[in-house]
Amino acid sequence: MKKSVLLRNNVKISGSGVQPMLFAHGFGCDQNMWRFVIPSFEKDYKVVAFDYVGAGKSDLEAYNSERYSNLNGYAQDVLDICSELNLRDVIFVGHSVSGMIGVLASIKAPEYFSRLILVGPSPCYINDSSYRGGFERKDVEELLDTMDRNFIGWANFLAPAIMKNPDRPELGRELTDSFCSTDPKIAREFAAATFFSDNRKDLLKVGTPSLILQCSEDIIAPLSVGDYLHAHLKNSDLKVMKATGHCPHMSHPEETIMLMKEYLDAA
Amino acid sequence: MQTDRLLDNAPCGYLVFQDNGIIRWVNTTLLTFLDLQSTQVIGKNIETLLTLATRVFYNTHFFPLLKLHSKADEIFLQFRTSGNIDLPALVNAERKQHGDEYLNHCVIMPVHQRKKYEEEILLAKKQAEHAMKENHQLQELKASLEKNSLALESLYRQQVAANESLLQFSKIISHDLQEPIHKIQLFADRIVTKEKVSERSQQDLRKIDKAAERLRMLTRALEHYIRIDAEKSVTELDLNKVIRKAETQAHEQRKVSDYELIVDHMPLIDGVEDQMTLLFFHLFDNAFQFRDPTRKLSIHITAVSLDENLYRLSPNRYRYAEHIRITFRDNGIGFDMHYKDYIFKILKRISPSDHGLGVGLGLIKKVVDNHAGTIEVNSIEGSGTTFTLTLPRRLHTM
Repeated sequence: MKKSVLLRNNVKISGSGVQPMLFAHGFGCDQNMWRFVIPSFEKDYKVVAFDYVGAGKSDLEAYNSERYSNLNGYAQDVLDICSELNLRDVIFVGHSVSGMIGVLASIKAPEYFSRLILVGPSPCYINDSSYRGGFERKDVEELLDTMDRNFIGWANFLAPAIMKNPDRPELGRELTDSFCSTDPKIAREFAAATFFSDNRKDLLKVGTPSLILQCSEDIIAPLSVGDYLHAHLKNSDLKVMKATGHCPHMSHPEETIMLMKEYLDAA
Repeated sequence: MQTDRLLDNAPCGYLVFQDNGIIRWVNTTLLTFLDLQSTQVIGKNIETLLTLATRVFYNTHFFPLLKLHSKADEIFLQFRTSGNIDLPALVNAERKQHGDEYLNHCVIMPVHQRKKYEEEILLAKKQAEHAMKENHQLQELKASLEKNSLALESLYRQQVAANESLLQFSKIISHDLQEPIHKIQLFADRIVTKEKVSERSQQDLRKIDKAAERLRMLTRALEHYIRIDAEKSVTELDLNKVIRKAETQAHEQRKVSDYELIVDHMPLIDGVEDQMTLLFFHLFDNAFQFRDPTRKLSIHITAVSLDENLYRLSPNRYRYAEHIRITFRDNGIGFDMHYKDYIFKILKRISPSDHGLGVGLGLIKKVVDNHAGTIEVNSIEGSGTTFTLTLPRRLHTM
């Protein structure tokens, strides 16, 4: 590895505990997504947060289309970080597609992980005979199209914050840093890698115990998907949250934290 | 004229929703666009007005952007009318505090015509990008092909020369070396049986015979090691059968019978049957040889399928394909992990009391290399050894 993994993945370590908690963001954002949740775990854990290569403040030079058009390429980021920091007994917390990325990583190197906490995970987004993933192929194609359209004027996504306070450029920079800035080409490849993935056959190979945090009314991962995961992941707990939508760690951080602590305390 | 009436009938849609998505206010223009009554919209979730794909985008991009940034401009979203017709629109949104709650205000502008232009622009952009990318890739490929073909030529030349010397070497050890060894044994034996020699000399002669015997075994093993590459026909193998066959061979050779073998479900895998059998033979042989005399030997073999990168030497190349990871675990005496890189070298033995020839693990490594795989070993002294082999499910060429 040429560049340090810690720089490459913008790894941030905080907290005063010993057992590592590794926070992996989902599609569409970066480690900032965890900012409402992380402080509650800093007292008892060693908190490690990072950006996947291509997201947030990761090293975009390290992005490789061949590698990151496959969730295994993302799982390798997780394993690289575990290896670089020599982590053991990791509680992996993954949102959305990071649920399956964590599943893949735990199959490849079970020795790193003690628990998986999967927030809004789905092993397959597209419906397939009796399996209900929630999407048809054409829906995924429309999503990619919507992304293309919004990224035509990508500069507009980032610019207003800076333009709004021309006399205070540092504010603009802070705002730009703090939200989910992603290169449009990379975001689109991540979307395709995510929404066309099918990891159903991998679930039975997982030995690490897991908690599935299932939102009510989540179109990206509907209830039927949570049930499917619970039925196919050995030693899994399923909690259906009051939180709606797909980002409970942002919209309902208190409930998310409470359920995570409840699970970890019982373990 | 009242300003809210102006807004109600303004030539653009207007919508106010809470952070949880619930719609608080909508203007008449938007209701007309969507062909809905206000009672069908107020109190409902904004997501009910969007197409499925746009709901995903709303959840993963639009709302996080708005929440973190308090503003989102010129976002393309696809609404859906009551008649199930797509309504493409551009949206400007702002998140504002009203008393102790936040409300999100959106201005919605249908873009039927613009969408068509954009489609054309996007198509042209994609075609241009595709052509650029292909051109770029072709240039890169051409450059690396030229570079690689020279390197390949040089490698090929070296390989031919190496093969030639290996062939000679193989001939020497299988024939030329056997002859003098045979003679040493023959004459030593003749002296012992025919001549009257002292007790002391008899002992020495027996030692000569023993050493010659060991030399003979070693040359056999070396020959075996070189010959292994001769058989190259790849077929799809039933690992279960391969393992049972190897077990039988190892069991007959070492005469070990008091052991337990657990083999989990084994998948099919591409490989050279003789080589794979030999690989498992040596794994069993190793387990038998280094069993712990104080407890019953137990061997556990598992397999799991996972996707790994096929490129192991080329930097920055990735092609994930199915691999089979096999673990072979015993509860033998184990060894000090200090030796872990040493044991796979041919003719290396860890301790002088080890009666094997030290060829086994070197052969295992060679078979794994031939099958484009990797092998790792983990051992705890006193509790056992685990070999982990990761082999491609399909072999393209050998």
